[in-house]
Amino acid sequence: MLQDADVVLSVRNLRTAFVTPAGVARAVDDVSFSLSQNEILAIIGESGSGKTVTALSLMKLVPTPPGKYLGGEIEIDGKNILALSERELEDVRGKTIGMIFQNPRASLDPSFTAEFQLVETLLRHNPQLDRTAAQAAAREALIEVGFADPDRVLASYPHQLSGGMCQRVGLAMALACQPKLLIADEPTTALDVGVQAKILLLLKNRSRDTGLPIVFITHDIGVVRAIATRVLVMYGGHVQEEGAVEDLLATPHHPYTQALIRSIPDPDEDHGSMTYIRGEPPNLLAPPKGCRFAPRCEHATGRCRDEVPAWHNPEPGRYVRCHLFDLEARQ
Amino acid sequence: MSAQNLIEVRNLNKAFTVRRGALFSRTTASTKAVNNVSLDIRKGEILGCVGGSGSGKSTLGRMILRLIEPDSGEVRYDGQNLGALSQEEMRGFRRRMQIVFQDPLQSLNPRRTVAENVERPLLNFGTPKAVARRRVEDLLELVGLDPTQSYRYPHEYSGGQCQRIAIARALALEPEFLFLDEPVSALDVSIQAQILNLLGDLQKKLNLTFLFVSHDLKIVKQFCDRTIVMYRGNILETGSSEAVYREPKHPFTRDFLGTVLHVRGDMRWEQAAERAEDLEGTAKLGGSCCPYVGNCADCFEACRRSAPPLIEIENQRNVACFLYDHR
Repeated sequence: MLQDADVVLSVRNLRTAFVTPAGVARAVDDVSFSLSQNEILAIIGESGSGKTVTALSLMKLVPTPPGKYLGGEIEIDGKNILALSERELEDVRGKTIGMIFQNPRASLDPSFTAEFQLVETLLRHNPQLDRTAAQAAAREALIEVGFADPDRVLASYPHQLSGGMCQRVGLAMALACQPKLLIADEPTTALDVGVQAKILLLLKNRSRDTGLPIVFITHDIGVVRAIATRVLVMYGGHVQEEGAVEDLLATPHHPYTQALIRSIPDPDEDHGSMTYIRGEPPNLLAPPKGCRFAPRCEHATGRCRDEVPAWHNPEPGRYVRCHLFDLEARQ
Repeated sequence: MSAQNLIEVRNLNKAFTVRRGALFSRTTASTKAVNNVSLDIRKGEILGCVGGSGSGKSTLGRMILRLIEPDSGEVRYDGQNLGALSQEEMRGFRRRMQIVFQDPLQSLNPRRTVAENVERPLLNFGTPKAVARRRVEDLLELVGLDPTQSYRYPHEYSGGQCQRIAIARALALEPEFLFLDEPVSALDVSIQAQILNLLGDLQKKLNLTFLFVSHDLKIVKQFCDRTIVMYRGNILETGSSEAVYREPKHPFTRDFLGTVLHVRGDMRWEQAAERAEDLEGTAKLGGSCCPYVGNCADCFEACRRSAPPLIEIENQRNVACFLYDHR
């Protein structure tokens, strides 16, 4: 599968930790997945699940120290990311990998216009361009992300733009250099629902039209349903479940995924008290010995508390880390 | 004043002005945050208020608590016009109405223990220290926290637990009204439902009245008895939460609902996204027209000439839109 020509990103046994005075927090623990052309992979999880650290690791952007890459491999477009030097990474970030983040204003410099920042990025990664061509490309990039009035936006400073507009400028900047992969870390969480829908549609159309693969980090299952083709569910630093979006949301296998979906209010169903997951997410400094979800799981047995479940493959395209799917043990 | 209403708001207005220059400062822009808003909050109900950012929902709630002074208009609390009270008189009412903020870590004092945070309002209102301490234990138990751990500091707790602490503090003075300003927006999905269930239980047990502000229609539909929909400082629609969700009347409410992403969703949101407004280049609306005229699919001549008033079109159902105004 990893030899597949379409595979743009493959992550094998990634382990990223934070070394703190209180101990080692294993934020990402043995995470593997791959991503091909035309795919939008959603990584869903709560705070502390490891989803953002996974995204940052893909660009080798986890600050070290306190962060530490304990092991694993990340291959993007044939490059072994974790082996690259800081200088080599500068060429990869922004060029091979485009990125957008949760706070749209934080990724723009408040003291320069949108045009300056777009042109700067374009020139940095495309030395063959002259300034006039870069300016034209910047304008074109803004039109592609849906601005009807690109000239006004080009001349604006970030504080003169709304949050949604800043996020689209950031997206224009990320896409202007024709990246091979886009990483989007909760890009719509801080935005109003209408603007969120607009940005999701932009990403979805872009991926459909150009084949651009996207890693989309979110905590919102509604967002996953709207744009993803495949889902990775993270909890406590482990990937707990993986599958195609419709399958996984319709028949979640892992008890955590099931509980997560149940805890979202379904306005089309009649009023009733909401079900919720008891307890709190695990402390990564002292994670549960077995399954990370065992302390909150209603199906947990002694084995779940003692032994980390293996990665089971109950049906084609579906993976789950849960002892309930260990068919040999059940027989 | 009707006996069933705890709070009556009449023609409330608030404009925020942007000033430039230090010495010869001048007003360069003015935004109407809340525009001539009137509403009733009944005793014992949960009233939801939804709208996008900048719709004036938080400003409205804060004016009801008199944390922001309105430019004009009246807030009557249990028959008393709050605007007419002196600061000293207002203090008596403060203990009857409390607020819970969006970000629990920022609204708790990080240098004080949990117990000190929760007992602060009690001490402020003259409860003896020993009595306050015992009350803190009861309060923490009420919100599902372990009172024996109350010597800890807020940063040692997760977001959901901090919100429980903030709720305990808000309940310390036995208020009858809580303004909940996006109380679960900063929390994880699995914790949101925990906190909403807690708030729902407390509301029934203590017979509280809530104003619940949120941008999430799914949650408002689930949690609130009635809903008001706000847009650019105006109330566009009110009704039972069920009715507003099932049969949205105002074109804005329909567009807003269309962009809500559902777990078992179809792909209808894509059409809604095409139409959704992101306020790019929308000129500040001056003078008299419908606030939604710039993006409304159904707008016609009358909408540009004057702003439609909020009128009752069915029992308990009010809409500010000329489509329903047949006078």
